Amino acid sequence: MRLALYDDLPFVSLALTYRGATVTIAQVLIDTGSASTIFAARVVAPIGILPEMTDDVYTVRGIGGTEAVFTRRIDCVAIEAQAVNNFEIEVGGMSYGFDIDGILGMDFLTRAGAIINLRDLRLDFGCSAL
Amino acid sequence: MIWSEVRQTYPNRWLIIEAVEARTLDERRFLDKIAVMEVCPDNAEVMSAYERWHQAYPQREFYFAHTGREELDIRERRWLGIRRNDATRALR
Repeated sequence: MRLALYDDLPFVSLALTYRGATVTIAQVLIDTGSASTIFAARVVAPIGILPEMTDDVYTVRGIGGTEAVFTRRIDCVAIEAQAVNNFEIEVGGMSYGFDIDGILGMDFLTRAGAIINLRDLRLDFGCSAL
Repeated sequence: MIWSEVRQTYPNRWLIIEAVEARTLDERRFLDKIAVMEVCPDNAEVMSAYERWHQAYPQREFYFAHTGREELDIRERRWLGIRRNDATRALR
């Protein structure tokens, strides 16, 4: 998968599957500084990922304030042929003042065996599908 | 208000609330004083409303919550966050 650089930050597109419905998400940041993976509520709502009363709620605190998120275990996160099944994501507002639909954190990158190749601007995977 | 008062005033509703006074203890966030910002019809609307509030006031601490919950039970995670190179951006 080709990495796209916007404002010097690396982005990919990927597909999320939840209860059999799949959505393609265009602008997802690769972030080795984030332990977890988060998506904007507006991009996952179309496949029925909405908060439930019983969801665990987290507050993610960092530079620039706080973000409230709920968590959801989804069927699959896939980048081209590389799929990680039964994966927990966070869902929040993600309104940072610029165009970003999600953040792929270390939980996904390690599980997928991601190789971030900045010389050729590619995201590759060192192992077969999980 | 405290959460039990919020629940009494807005039973069985999705709300946007603001933490007016809050503290963290053992990676849990406790809201000591809560302001109700918006009452939402359902769980889809509450996320759009949350996004709006968060975007308008990024420094304030908002939550989406359903008053059916006895305890808010908010856990805290740390994240460094994105730092953009605004100088480079301005040159483009």
